[in-house]
Amino acid sequence: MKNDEIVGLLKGNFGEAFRGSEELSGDLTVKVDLDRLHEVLQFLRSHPSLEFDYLPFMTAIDYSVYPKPKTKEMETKLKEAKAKEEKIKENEEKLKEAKEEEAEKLKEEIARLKEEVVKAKEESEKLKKEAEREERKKRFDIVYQLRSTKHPYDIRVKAEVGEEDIVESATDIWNSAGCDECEIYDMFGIKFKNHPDLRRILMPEDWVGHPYRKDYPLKGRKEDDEYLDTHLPEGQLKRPEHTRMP
Amino acid sequence: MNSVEETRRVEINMGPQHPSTHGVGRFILTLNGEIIEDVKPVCGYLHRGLEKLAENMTYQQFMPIVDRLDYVASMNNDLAYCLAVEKLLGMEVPERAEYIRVIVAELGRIASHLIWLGTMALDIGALTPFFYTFRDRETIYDMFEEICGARLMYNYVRIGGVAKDITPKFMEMLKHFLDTFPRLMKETDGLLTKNRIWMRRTKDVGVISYDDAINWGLSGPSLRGSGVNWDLRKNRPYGIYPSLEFDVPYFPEGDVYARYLVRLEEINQSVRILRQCVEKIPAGEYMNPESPFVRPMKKPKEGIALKDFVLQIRGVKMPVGEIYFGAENPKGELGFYIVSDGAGKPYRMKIRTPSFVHVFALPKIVKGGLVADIVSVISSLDFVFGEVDR
Amino acid sequence: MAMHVLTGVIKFIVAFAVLGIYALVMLWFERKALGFFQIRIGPKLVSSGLEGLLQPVADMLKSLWKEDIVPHRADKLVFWVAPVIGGMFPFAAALAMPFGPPIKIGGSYFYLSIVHVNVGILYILAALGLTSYSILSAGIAAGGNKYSLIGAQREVAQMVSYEVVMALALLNPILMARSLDLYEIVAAQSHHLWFVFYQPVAFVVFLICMFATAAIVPFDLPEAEQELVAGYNTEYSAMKMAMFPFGQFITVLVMSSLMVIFFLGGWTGPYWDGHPWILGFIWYWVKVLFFVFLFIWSWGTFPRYRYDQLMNMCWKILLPISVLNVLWTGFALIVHLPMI
Repeated sequence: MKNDEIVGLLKGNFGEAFRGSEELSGDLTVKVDLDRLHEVLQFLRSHPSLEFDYLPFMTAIDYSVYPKPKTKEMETKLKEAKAKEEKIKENEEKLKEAKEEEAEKLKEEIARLKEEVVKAKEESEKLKKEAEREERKKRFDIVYQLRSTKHPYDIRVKAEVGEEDIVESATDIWNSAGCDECEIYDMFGIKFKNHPDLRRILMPEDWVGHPYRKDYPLKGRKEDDEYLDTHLPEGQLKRPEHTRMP
Repeated sequence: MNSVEETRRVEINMGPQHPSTHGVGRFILTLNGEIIEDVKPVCGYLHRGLEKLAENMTYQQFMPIVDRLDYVASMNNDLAYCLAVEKLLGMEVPERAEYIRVIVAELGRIASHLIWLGTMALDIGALTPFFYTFRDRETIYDMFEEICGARLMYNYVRIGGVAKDITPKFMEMLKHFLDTFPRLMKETDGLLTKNRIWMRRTKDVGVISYDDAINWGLSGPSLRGSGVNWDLRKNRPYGIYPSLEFDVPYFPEGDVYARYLVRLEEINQSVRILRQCVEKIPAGEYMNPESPFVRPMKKPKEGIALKDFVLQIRGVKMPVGEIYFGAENPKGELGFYIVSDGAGKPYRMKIRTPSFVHVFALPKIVKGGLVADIVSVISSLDFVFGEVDR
Repeated sequence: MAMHVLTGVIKFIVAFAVLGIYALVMLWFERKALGFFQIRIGPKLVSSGLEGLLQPVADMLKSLWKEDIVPHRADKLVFWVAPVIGGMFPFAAALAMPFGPPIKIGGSYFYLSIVHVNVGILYILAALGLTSYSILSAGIAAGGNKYSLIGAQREVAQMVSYEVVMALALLNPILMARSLDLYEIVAAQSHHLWFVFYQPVAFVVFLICMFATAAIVPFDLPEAEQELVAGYNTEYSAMKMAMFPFGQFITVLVMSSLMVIFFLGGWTGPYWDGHPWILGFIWYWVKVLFFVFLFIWSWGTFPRYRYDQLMNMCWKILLPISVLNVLWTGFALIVHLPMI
C-alpha cells in the first residue's frame, strides 16, 4: 500500500474530518480534526492492513510565531520571471539576425534564462501554495508519529489544538503515549483527559509557565529567579546579581 | 487489619544520588518489606531544554549539543542528527564518508555496550568485569582521539560527510582492535554468561512480553530482548547498512538475561560489520563538496568571506516542511523530528530518545519484584539521563 | 595462678598486636590482589618502596582525623555501641582461636590461643553470632535511614538462614572427633585422613556458610552497595565506619581457621608428625591464608546473590542436606563403618 492509498483510505472513512496531507522525503503527514482525532488513531491502530502498533513519539508544536505566507515575495518572483521571459523573446528575435559567433553566445544566454525562469516559477508556486493554505485559528498542533512493526509504513497524524482544548489521551491505544503526554502538558500546557497520571515531569510541580511555548523567553523570566530563591535550601548562597535573568 | 498493612509500607527515594541509577535519576519506591509495590520515576534533574535551544540555533550550531544527549555514544548521536538534516535537505553523501560513518557508529555502539556491560556487572555485584570492559573501551576512545582529537564529545560526523578523513594509523589501530577484541571479550563473557549466580539474578527477572514491549514503545536491544525482530538498520534501512551483512539477534524470553545476550551478540555483529567495512572502504571524498554547510575551500576569490558570514549568522536556508528520522542507536531509537519554516534555524525540533520511554516503562516492569531486581532491570534497560531529561 | 594470669595478659597483648597488624596487612593485600584481578596496580604511592604496604596505615590515620558525623535523629547510644560490637565480637571469637600447634614443654602443652577451653567451638560460634547485633543496631540506630534499615533487615534474614546450617555442618567433624575442643579435633585428624575426605558435603556446606558469615561477595547483601548505597553503614563516618570492615577481616580470619581446623587437619600435614613444631605452624598458616585469599578471590569473581535466593538456598537445599548428612554420620559411627 502506497502513501496515496493510505490517504485515500482515511479520506473515505473520515470525510470532512480529514484536512489534507503532505509529503516530504517520503514522510507522510495527515491532518485531521481534533474532534475525531482519537477515532482516527484507533482506526489506524486496528485496521488490518495498516496496524500502526508502535508510537515512536508524540509532541506538540507552537505555531504562534510561524512566518506568515510571503505574498509580496511571490509577486516579485513572478514579475522577475515575466521580465526574463520578455528578455528571452528579445534574444530570440536578435538570434534570427545575428552572425554565427554572436549566435552561440545568445543561445547560451537563452538556455540560462530559461532555467532561471523555471526556477522562479517553481519558487513562486511554492509560495502560492503556502499562501493558499488555510489560516490557522488555533495555536498548537499536536503530532503523533506512528509506525507499523508488521508493515513497512510510517505516518504522522496532526491536529490543531487551541489553548483551551482538552485532548483525549492516547494511552489506551499506545501505552507509551503516557510519558509523552506528560511532557506536552508540562512544556506546552495542553491538557489531556483520561490520562492515568498527568503531571509535570521535567519541570518542578509548582512551576508557573510552559517553557517550550514560543512566548517563553529563552533565558527565562524574572519570576523564575524568584522561584529558585524561595526553593533554595537553608543556608545556601543566593545567586549573584549578574547571573540573574533579564 | 488494613491500617496495620498500611503502616508497613516504606517509601524510599532511590536517587538522585544513588550508585546504580546511572545518572541523576530518581525513583520513589514504595516497598512492602523488600517487595516493590510502586515505582514513580521523577526526572528533570538534568533538564537543559535542548529542544528550546535548538529553535534558537542554526542547524550547524546544534551539532555539538547533540553529543550531550547520550554522552556515552556521541558518535551515534551525531550520525542520527546528520542523517535527519540530510533527509530534510535531500542531500547525498559520498560513499567513503558513508563507510567512515558506519565504522565510527559501530565502534561507538561497541563502546556504549561495553560501558553497559561493565556497569551492569557492577550493579549485580561483580566488580571485575567493569575493569575489563573499560580497558577495551579505552582502546576505542584512543582510536576516536586519533581521528578527531576528542575522546568523549566528538562532533566528528558532519552534515554532508565527516569532519576529517581517517588516517592510516587509525586503520592500523582498527585492524589490531578487530584482531584482539573478540579474544578479550571472551574474558568478560567467561566471567558472566555461564555463571550460575549471574543467571539466577537475571533469568525470569523483569520479564516483558512481546506485545507489551511494542506497546510500551521500547526500542533497540530492549525490544529485541522481548523477541521482536526489529532493527531500524534492517527495517527502515539508511546509509550503506543494506549492503552490509549482519544478523539481528533477538531472544523471546524477555527477561534481563535475554537483553544481556542481545547486547553481547550485538557486539559480535558490530565487529562483523567493522570487518566488512575495513575490506570494502573505497577511496574518494569524505565530505560532499556540494554541501551548503561546507566552507567553499576550493573556490577562490570573493564569495568565501560572505558565505562564511552568512553561514555563521543566518544559517543555511532549508526547505519548508517537516521530517522525522530515527536511527538505531546503542540504546534504542534516537529520532529527530524537525519542523522547518525555511529559515536557517529549525522552527521546532523534537528529540525522540529511547531512554525517556524506557524510564517510564520501568514501573510496569519491576512491580512485584525485589529491590535487588530493580537494579538489574535498570541496568538491563540501559538508560542515560542525559537523554531522558534532554 | 599469678603465672597463669601473667601469661594470659601477655598472650592477650601479643594477640591484639598480631590481629591489628594482620588486619592492616590484609587490607593492603586485599587491595593488591583485587588490583591484580582487575588489571590495575592497587595502592602504590604511600611507601612506594614497599609496594604501598603502608597505605592502610595512612587510611587509618585519615579516618581517625575525619569528621565524625552523628545524624541528628540517630539514637546516639546505640549508634555508638554498634561499631564497638562490630569490632569487639569478632575479636572475642579470635580469643579462642588457635594461632598454631600447641608447644610441648616438658610434660604439659603450651597452647597458642589466649584461652583454651574444651568447648572452644561453641564459644566461637556464639561470639560470631553476636556480631550480627552490630549490623542490626547500626541499621536501627541510623536515624530513620531506610537503606540502613533494609540492610539490617537483610542481615537478620541472612543470619537466621546460615547459622543453623553452619552449626549442622560443623556437627559432623565434632561427632567424628567426639570433642568440642579445637585441639582435640585436630588431633583426631592426625591419626587418619582429614575430615574433608569423609565429609565432603559438610565441607561444601560450610564453605558456603563461611562466605555468608563474613558477608563477602556472593553474600554481601547487608551492604550491597549498588542497591542500598552502603546498607547498614550508610550513615557512619570516620573511625566508626572503619570498625565494621575491621571486624569483617577478623571474622574472615576466624572462619578460615575454623575451616582449616575442622576439615583440613589444622596443623597436620605431610612430613609433620607432632615434632617439628615450626613445620606445623607453617602448614597451619599456609592453609588459613589460602582461605583468606579465597575470600578475596571470590570478591573479585562473583556477582551477588539476591537475599531471597540466599534464604531459599539455605532453608530448602542446604538445611535438608545437612540434616541428612548428620544422620548419616551418626549412623556410620554407630555401626562402625570401616572408613571411620
